[in-house]
Amino acid sequence: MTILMNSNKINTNEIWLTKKSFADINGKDFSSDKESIIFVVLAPESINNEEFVRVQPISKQIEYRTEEDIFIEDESFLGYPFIIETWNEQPILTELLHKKLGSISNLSVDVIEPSEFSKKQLSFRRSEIKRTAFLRQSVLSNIVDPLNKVETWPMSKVFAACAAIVMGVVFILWQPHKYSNEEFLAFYQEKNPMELSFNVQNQLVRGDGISIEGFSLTESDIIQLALKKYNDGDYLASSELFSQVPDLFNHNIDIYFYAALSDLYANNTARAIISLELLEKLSRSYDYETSWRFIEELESSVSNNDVLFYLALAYVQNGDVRNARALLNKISSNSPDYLKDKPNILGNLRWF
Amino acid sequence: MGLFSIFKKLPKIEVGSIWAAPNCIWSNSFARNKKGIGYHPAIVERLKTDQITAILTPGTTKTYKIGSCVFTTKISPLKNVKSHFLLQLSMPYLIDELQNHQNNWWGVQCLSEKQKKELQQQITWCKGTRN
Repeated sequence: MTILMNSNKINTNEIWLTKKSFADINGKDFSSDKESIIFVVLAPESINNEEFVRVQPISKQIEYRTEEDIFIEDESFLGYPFIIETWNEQPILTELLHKKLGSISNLSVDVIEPSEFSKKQLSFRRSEIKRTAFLRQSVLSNIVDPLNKVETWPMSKVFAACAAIVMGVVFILWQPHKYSNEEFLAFYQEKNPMELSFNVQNQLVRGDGISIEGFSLTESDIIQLALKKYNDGDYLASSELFSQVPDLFNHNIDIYFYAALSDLYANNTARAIISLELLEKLSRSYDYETSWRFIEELESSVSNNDVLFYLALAYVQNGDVRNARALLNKISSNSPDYLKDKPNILGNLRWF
Repeated sequence: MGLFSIFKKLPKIEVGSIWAAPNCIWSNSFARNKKGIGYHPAIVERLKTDQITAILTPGTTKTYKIGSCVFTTKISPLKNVKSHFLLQLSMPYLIDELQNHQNNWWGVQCLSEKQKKELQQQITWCKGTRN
């Protein structure tokens, strides 16, 4: 390797001309506009099987020197006076050294870091540090951190990411492609009014003076009137009438279900949720008698899915879309056909 | 003061601060921080009085050299992983350009006071009082 050939020849206090281009350890080519002249201050050492020296760049722009530069007036070295930039000391691979120009013996100069600089001196330093980046790049290419986990983003990317996050948050909060809860209910409640089941309709045509099983004659009359009001779509009235019949749940689950729907459509949300949750709990009861009761009384008219669906609507009415979504997902996975006439109901439900 | 300026002033450049330095500092159009070049941690070893230059010491978790010119310390939270900062490879870096990089390596922005003292001690052993 060139480096090894040079290593025996390179000593401190020598002046060298560098190459204009090199290929780094990764095979990337680097070039500079022109050669640099450097002063060697540390003899070759090894890094990652490559050899490097520490150097201080040389410049003939002596007018910008400070007390931190070594000023060589003697023109016998390079043919002109020059400065050694001690403040710009850096490592370079010996591979970059092209030609020895000379050496300075007995150089003993103490440099002092100045406390003040002229604008021109600062500008000169800035340009020199940039100009010599080419030299130290040869070493930097060799430094690899195997645990390189950090990636620096340019500010433009940071702003773009921030803007995307803000827009994402606004989008999530706004949910422009979703129905509002009111729109959701208006669409899905009105599209799917629950008609009275056959069993319950029979109560409407019963004769006067005949009570419904489990109820007194007065209670039977109230229930009959409530069912009529429900059938007419007067849910406010049916809700009020049903509420006057005590213990409806324990006597007739079928009618209790329509009382719950009356509450839902009359916006008596809390009462509707309590009633429908009770029915939902009953429908999944492991108790033989209660589950059998549910099946016996509701199987022909009201399905478990009906209970889940209207409970979901009640949750939406209450602003609890999380629980509503859980119930609709349950229906969707167990009985996807049930939601066929309720287009995109899950898609139109807000996330929160 | 614009938002951009506020962000730019956030990183604090001080001795012992740790930066994600690109392995490629070449900044002309033909080789500007090409994707895949990667980063390594670098410590600010010294700040020059010209106030435009920091002396950066590059580091790596790979053990390149063992000796008095390597400052070894714990930065990564990973077990048995230490970072080795190669004092003999220190180099000047323009503060303006350093501020464009991330002042963070494994969540660490600056060495602790104890680590800073150990760094200074190691520098003295390696370079004497030359710097």
